[in-house]
Amino acid sequence: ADGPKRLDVASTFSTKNFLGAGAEHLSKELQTATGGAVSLRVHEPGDLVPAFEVFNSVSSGAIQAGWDWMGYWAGTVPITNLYGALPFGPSPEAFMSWMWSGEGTELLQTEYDKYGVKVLPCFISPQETGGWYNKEINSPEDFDGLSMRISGLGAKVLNRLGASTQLVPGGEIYLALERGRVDATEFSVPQVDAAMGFDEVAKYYYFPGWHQSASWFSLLINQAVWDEYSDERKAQFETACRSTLQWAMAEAPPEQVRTIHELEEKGVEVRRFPDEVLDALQQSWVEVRREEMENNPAFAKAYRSLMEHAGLIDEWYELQAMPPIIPLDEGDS
Amino acid sequence: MSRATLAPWRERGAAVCAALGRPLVGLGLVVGRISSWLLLLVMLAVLTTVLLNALGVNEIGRWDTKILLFGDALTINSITELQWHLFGILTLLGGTYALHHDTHVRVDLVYHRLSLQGRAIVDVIGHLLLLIPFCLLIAWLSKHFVTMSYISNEQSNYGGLTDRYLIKAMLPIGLVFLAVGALGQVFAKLAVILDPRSGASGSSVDEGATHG
Amino acid sequence: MAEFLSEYALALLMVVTLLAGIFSGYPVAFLLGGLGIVFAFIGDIPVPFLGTVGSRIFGGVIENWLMIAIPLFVFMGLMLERSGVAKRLLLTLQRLFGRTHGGLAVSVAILGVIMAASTGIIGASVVMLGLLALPVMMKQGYRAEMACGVIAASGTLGILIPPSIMLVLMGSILQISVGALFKAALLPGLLLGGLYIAYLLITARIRPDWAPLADMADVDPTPLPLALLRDLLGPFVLIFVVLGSIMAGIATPTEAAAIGALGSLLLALAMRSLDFATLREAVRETSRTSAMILFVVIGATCFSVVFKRLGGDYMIEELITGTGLGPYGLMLLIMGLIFVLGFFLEWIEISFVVLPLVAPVVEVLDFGYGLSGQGLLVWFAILVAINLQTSFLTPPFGYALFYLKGITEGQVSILTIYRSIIPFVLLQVTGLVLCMVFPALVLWLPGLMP
Ligand code: NA
Ligand code: NA
Repeated sequence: ADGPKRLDVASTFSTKNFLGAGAEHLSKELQTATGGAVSLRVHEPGDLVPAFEVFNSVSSGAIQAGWDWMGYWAGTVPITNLYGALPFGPSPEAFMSWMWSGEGTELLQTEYDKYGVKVLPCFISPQETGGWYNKEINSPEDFDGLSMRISGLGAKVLNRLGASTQLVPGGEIYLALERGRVDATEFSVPQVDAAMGFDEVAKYYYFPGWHQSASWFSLLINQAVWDEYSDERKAQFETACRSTLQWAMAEAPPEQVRTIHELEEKGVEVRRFPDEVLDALQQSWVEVRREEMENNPAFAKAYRSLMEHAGLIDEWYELQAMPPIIPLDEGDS
Repeated sequence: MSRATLAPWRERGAAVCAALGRPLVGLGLVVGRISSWLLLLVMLAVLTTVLLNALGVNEIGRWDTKILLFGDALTINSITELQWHLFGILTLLGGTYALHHDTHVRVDLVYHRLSLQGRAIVDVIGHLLLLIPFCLLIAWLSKHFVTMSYISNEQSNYGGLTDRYLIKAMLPIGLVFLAVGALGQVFAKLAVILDPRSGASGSSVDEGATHG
Repeated sequence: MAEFLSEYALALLMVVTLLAGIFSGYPVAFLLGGLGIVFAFIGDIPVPFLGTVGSRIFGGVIENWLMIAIPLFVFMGLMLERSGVAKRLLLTLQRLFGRTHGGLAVSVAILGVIMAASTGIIGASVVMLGLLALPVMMKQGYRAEMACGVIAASGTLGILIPPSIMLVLMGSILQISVGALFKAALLPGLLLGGLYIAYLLITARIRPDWAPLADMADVDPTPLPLALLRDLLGPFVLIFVVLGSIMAGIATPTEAAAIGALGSLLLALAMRSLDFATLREAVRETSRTSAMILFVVIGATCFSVVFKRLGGDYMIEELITGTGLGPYGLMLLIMGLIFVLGFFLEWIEISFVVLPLVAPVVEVLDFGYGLSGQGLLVWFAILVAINLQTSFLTPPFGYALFYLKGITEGQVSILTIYRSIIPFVLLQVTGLVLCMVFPALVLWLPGLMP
């Protein structure tokens, strides 16, 4: 028998935003690829299981499939920190190249195999932002004593600069920021942040998102369920996945900039971290990275592989580097 | 049914059931009384977090060897997570404690018109058919959830507590504990069914006059 | 119709069994959980699927930091009650109203609004308010229906008046600004509080025996200003510290609950009414009472996931999308459906099932107020929120009613509580209709009026 015709998917993001909409898009692509034979039924976060329990529930077979941001599982599979939120990591294009032409997907799957989970990387979100701040960051010293909601490796980087990084549940971030219980928060891409209303409670919107250069989202499928599908179906899943990724990469960046312009109109000040600050952050990252690689061989191996691969891409683009394009002006008709 | 005289087998049966139920119910009560104090620890942990945040302190201490639950550092996030760890234990064990005190809410429209035996029958059927299967099945199915946390060495993603399997294991433990408590109640209620006089003093235990 | 019934027979049977089952008097929490399991077997749901229940309990209750507010507020309520602070506070507040019948009940409604501004967890505010006020009201000879009604209704305002986890969840499902929702919910919340107070004053005037005045012998002879200073100072400082710590950004609402708990402990100490035995009893009762609340949530999460798996959500989907109604017809259908679902499902599940389904439909409707986009969705969300708040109060399956019942220790029957809530449910419906007819009530504050 062939696998389920309608796969129940527990999403970790609302399908009303861009991140969760990826799952809906994948479902459409999958229907196209399979001639309508297979589709996804995407459940809102918490509808089947709480967002943070998706990986574990797919592994146990309690649910068939999930739609996730990979970084959520860093507590369980530390290597996912690299795929979800890698500070000072390579560009989305270089990352994608590593996933499909390098070792990226294979290394991830090896880790997931221990838990009986099949992973299909299907979606990449553009680089996140540097976060919402109610305090100006003019020098690295301004991080000292700053209280910020941020998790993962980025948090470790900030800790070294004296910031107090905190865990505030999604439901209380807005209020915590409004009342000053935290001075800053990172959340997601502008499109998603804007919907959270952070522009009403924070003054500055900082760039770049140094803590997360590209973040991967995937379709998780219980291995036993996956194995029920024929090879042809499996290939169709892959096709649908790649097509969804392409859609995400095409759709996302312009939309973010449009959103940023709208936010600016509402009075948000868009800022860039000074170079001095970015240098300090990167220095701190180097130390965190060293520690992480010492403690975690799987992470070290993947990181080396990714950097080596990204190096090739960088070299290519350096060779091909062009001067900035002269924009159109009035004279052009 | 006549209440004046009872067949001797019923009296004996009631005594046996009561004797079987007593230690199980007693255990739930003792544990519940002790775990109640976790409330003050929860409060203390929250207040500590507020204080540390106000002072802008993130890391309280760091050491070299990893210790259970706390890993190698104590941060504001360790304390934040400690809050819900303690809260989880308080809640799960409190469930059994509340069972023995009959605090779990009932819609007593019909129930309060029933005789002592009638009420005992409702509870015995309910515990055997609903509560005990619920507890045991969900506890059994949580096995994967705990072992996975254990083998993956799951920990906080915010630099908080390590050994997440400890609190995850509390879920099946708490549910099995509740099932044991429910079994104790079944015996206690059977004693009432067999010999209503044995229930005159109340089969749901009270801890003296201070209650209420 | 017959086809509909046969397709969703199990989901419907599950609801019917639940409604019949609660009247057996078996604890609601265990009934919910147990029926989930029983129907999973009847419906032949694969056993591993029930593994979702453990995850839901862990994520929804144990790991859910916001729930910590429950034991903390329950403890605060118990401490204030045990130390006599609550009683003196309410009696002195009542003196403020002079010889007006119903003054005590109005004080409770006002306290409810204040509680609402410091938490968004219904169990916490209903139980705390009940612990504070029910003994005093009963002792003073209030009609039980009057006392229970005002406590349950005012206690549920917490989910409407910000901060509120319900509005946060709605914001995330509908992808609208939580801030706009918070602002939008404020006036409707206060409107409902105002309706309660008006009702209480009018009823007490018509039926003074329902809301008797304190016995003259009981009224203490201290001059009012002095009594106010003595009895209100402590509690007001406490309220000020709890709300103030949220406003000043020292604490999140959950953390403020701990500050309140500590404050009540210190207040009892200052009143010289705290000894070890009192503390021990308060701690023990807190543990039992909050477990009572949280196990209802635990049982409900099991019931809901199985109900949905048995096709319950398709059933609701079919009901909503299968009609060809106009804007107001559809709105009324949705409101009616939520109202009915509120009889047996928890607000979280209703939000998950209904909101994503109806949002795209409502978004493009024209209600004739010139509403569109964000404004339209915010208005709609608040109407749903008021409706969901009502679902906590509607018999037979109203969570607020259960929580209140849970702390009465058999002094008040559930039937009394059911009767008590009827006028308040009618007031809720009035409030809902007002917000429907005058969108400005909702949209003026967030500045979303077209
Ligand atoms: Na509230
Ligand atoms: Na209801």
